[in-house]
Amino acid sequence: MTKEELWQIVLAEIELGISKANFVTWFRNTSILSKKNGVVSLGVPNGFTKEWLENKYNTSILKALKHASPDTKRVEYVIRNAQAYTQVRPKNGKPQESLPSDLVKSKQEYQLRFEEVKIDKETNLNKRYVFENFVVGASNELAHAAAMSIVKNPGTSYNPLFIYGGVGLGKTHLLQAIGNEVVKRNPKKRVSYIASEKFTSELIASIYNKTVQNFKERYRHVDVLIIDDVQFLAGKEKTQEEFFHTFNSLYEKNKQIILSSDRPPKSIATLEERLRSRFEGGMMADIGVPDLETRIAILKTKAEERSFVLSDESIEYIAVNIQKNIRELEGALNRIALTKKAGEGEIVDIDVVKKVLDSLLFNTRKITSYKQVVKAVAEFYEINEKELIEKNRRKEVVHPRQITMYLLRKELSCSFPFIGAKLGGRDHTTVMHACGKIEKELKQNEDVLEEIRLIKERLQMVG
Amino acid sequence: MKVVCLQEKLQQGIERVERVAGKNATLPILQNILLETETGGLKLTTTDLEMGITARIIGKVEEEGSITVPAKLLSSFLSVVSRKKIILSAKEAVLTLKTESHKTTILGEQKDNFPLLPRIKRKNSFSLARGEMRKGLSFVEKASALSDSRPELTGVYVRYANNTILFAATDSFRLAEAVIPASEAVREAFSFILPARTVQELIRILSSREEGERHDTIVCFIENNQILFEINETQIISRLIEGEYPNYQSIIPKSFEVEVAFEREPFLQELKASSLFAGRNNEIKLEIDSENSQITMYAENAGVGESSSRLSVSSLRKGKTRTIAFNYKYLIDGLSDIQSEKVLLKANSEINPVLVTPSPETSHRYLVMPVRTA
Repeated sequence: MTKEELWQIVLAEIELGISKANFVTWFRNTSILSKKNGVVSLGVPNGFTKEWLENKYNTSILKALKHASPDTKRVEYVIRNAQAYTQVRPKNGKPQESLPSDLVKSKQEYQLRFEEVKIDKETNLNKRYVFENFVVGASNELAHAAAMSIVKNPGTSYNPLFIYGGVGLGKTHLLQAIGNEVVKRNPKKRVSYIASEKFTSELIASIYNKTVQNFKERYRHVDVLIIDDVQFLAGKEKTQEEFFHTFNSLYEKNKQIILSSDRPPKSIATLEERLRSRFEGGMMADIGVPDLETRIAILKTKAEERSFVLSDESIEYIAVNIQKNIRELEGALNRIALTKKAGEGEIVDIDVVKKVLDSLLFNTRKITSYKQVVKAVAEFYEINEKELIEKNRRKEVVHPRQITMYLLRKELSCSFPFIGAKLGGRDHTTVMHACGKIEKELKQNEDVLEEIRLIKERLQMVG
Repeated sequence: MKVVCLQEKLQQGIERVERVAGKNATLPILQNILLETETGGLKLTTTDLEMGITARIIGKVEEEGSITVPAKLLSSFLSVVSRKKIILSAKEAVLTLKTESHKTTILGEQKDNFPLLPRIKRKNSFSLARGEMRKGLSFVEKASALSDSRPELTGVYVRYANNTILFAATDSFRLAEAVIPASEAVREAFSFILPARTVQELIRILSSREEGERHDTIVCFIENNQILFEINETQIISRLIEGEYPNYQSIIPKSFEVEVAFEREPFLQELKASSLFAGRNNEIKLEIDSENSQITMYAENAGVGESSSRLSVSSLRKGKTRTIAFNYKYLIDGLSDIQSEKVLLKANSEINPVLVTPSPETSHRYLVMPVRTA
């Protein structure tokens, strides 16, 4: 007989002896937590119930329990908030359970919620990062293969694993995926993920609070230690020293160490030689910029996660325009997800996608030199850069020149005299006129808008 | 039982405790107040089984005893009695009240059937200044969740660490946080979640001052998922909500693209006016134009009308103009609870949370998630 069954039998007997109101009040949300050596531990929802049952109903409860389970000796009352509860049904009435109530469901479709990060307190791993949603391509298949190999045999194959690569390419995702997968396959393994800055600050705090021993225990008794962004250890002697000892302690016991950085060990300046050699002594794998196919695959995966559909044309458009950084791909998707109309499952129009991306790219990119602008404009209009600068009033050249002036003003915030000087020693009023004219045309003429957008795209590809 | 007391004192005591009586409809005796004599006076108790309040009043005890009577009836009766001295006597389940010119009997129930209040060991205690606690709790209280699909959000989170006490509440659409200084530092941080109803009663009791009240500190004891609050002659015992409060700090953005400041009252008035025209989802839009130092508020409801108002603001950080939509209720809540004359509003994109704080900034923060613009 299970605990639940036992309690139902006891409740049935008790119900016969007391009023409906009393029964519902005092026995609602009670349950047997455990039964060991004749002692029944009864979960009650609050202190009032505990006092009342202990003082007024203990005899009846004990009696009923003994009837159903003769080896019961006594009852203990423990306060447990109603998570596992028993349905208390008074004889001729409706069940009195407490069900969660979701008020105003329709309003909540539009109202956005805070995005909470689900992080496991023990391991510090974010459950979102798993292998299942890690897209593999040519740029990261080596790192991925090494990661999978480690999951199968932590500590024995590639130790340590050093993964390096630029910003927003998936290093943290891969590292945490390894952690989550190890825990999934073997819940007993102790995995710990920490960013190197946190490692440093925890170390400093432990020195200040004189709890260094705790700190050492924390990081030297794990089965898998994952440290993200180790480039930040550069120049921090005390941290590197502590890390060195931690490393050795784990390595000697064949415990897996996984590290990530934005550059290979030899490029981390002021990294102690003994640490550098240890980092290089294991497996090093780089994660590069994903190619077009991989970016498309990533977009498809992430769009699916967000359950909306993008046409292949839209996906390709995004993949072509955002090339360097997976985080930016995500950002674009988030934006698009929120501007689409309320009909779920609709395919998002390419025009909507273009509009969203325009406003995104406007903000994120940095166009640096005026020479690049001139070059891009010249290429676009298929004229010679010289022609843009020369004293030439052919209209085929004037329009591109004005566009150049406009871009230099808007994108680089150059002063009018500067622009005039660089574009053939022209007067600043000429530049002002050009900018004003283009501004006006932008409002009236879609083609001009498109030209500017395409030129800006070129500029981003150059940079 | 026989005790003599002043009508005024008795009434005050009942006002303290009566709101909790009758909240729990399952057991009839919960509608009653328990009156018990003790040395030097009378103890009044009510409970709804989640929370219990006890108040003590001075009186002359001529005969010990106790009785429970319907709270509403007693309270209503006393409010129309204007005599000073009242003699309360009880025999079995009948309470008799005598004044100079009145004799009234009320049928009640004996104490045996009245729930016992849990006893809490007075060990781990900490104390707070009454005013500080009231301010902290009232600032955050409205933001707690109404739906109990996530029980830990239906309360107010309180965390005592070092020498500050943090109060926070959220329903995942908006979040309110206040940090107040503590009178003493604590070595090991601890936290608990107070049920919303308990918070409401606490705020009420902390806000009403009685004549002759000596102390301005509230002392708290925690044991076993229950908490006991003591202030002067009043005690409140309540369950605590079990569970982990979400780590909301990571939700609060570290930086903002645009920051503006404006006068709170005028803005609030405009909000209320606009709210009359808010459409479905209580939606109103704020167009934040930091370059031109203004915010334009739009509301439109197809069958009713539309409204548009412009307010000038000072821009502390300029960014692109952006339009963010909100459920006006959340904005009104936040702006009403912030007590300062000037307010700061910080925003990122139209899908990111917006932070509202007093200006100059204090430790009170209010974060609101926007509504998706269709």
